[in-house]
Amino acid sequence: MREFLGDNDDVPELTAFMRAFAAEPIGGSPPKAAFVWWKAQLARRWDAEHRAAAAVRLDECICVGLAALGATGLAAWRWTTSPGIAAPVAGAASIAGVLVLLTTAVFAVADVLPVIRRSGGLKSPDHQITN
Amino acid sequence: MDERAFYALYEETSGALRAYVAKSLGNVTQADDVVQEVYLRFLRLPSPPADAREARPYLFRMATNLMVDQWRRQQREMKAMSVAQEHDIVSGDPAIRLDLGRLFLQLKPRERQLVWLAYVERATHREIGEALGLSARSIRVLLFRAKEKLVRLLQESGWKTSNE
Repeated sequence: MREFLGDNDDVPELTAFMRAFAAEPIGGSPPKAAFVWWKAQLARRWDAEHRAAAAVRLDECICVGLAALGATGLAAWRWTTSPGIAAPVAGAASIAGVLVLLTTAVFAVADVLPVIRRSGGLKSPDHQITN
Repeated sequence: MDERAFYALYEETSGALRAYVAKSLGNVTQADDVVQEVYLRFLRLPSPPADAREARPYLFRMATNLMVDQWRRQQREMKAMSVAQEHDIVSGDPAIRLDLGRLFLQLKPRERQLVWLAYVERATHREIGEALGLSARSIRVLLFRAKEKLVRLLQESGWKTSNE
């Protein structure tokens, strides 16, 4: 960046102005190198932890989702094959059970979606990379 | 990159980088934030170069991009606040209230970067192009216009006569 560029000195008053302007003190004090280094290490550690935690969380969500799906399937199968299920009490209990399972499945899906989005599976529209 | 190498690199490059950002933004507080962010991003590179000559283009390019982000954000805020002149906001910093700073801030943000890199950093058109994400040919034209504008501003303000 320090390479000399002859045609930048073609306007003496401009050169003089820029020299004077550059020489003006900025004031304040720059961030300390040790502080920047410490912050970078902190950010690096946080990134690593976040990556590891995201993978575990994704696994957990997948497990919950699969369990909910399995339970829903089992309940549906029981509903169609059990003759006694038509009885009023058993019927009400089964409907309540299915509702609980469906709610769990909805929660599981709602839990999984943000993790997938964060891991880059589904990018949100405001995602930008500046550098 | 280890801690000692970073300290050496920081020592060698941070002064010039801070001056570039502070004078282009016209705000020292924002400049210090930008400088810090530049080094944090630099350290996040897979293998950041420890040599200052190699690192300089990276650092200046990152700083340029962050300043552009900053100006865009300011423009959005200004639109929201219905404030007309950008330099009215940026020159509010008490650290840069000198006439030279005021004159320089009358240039457009990109023009400030161009002129600073060309006159203070002595960067070639190709190097400026790398920092600003433009071709050397475009830099030649843009720099010519920026120089003309700054000379006009200097003449209008009587800067030359006051310093003779």
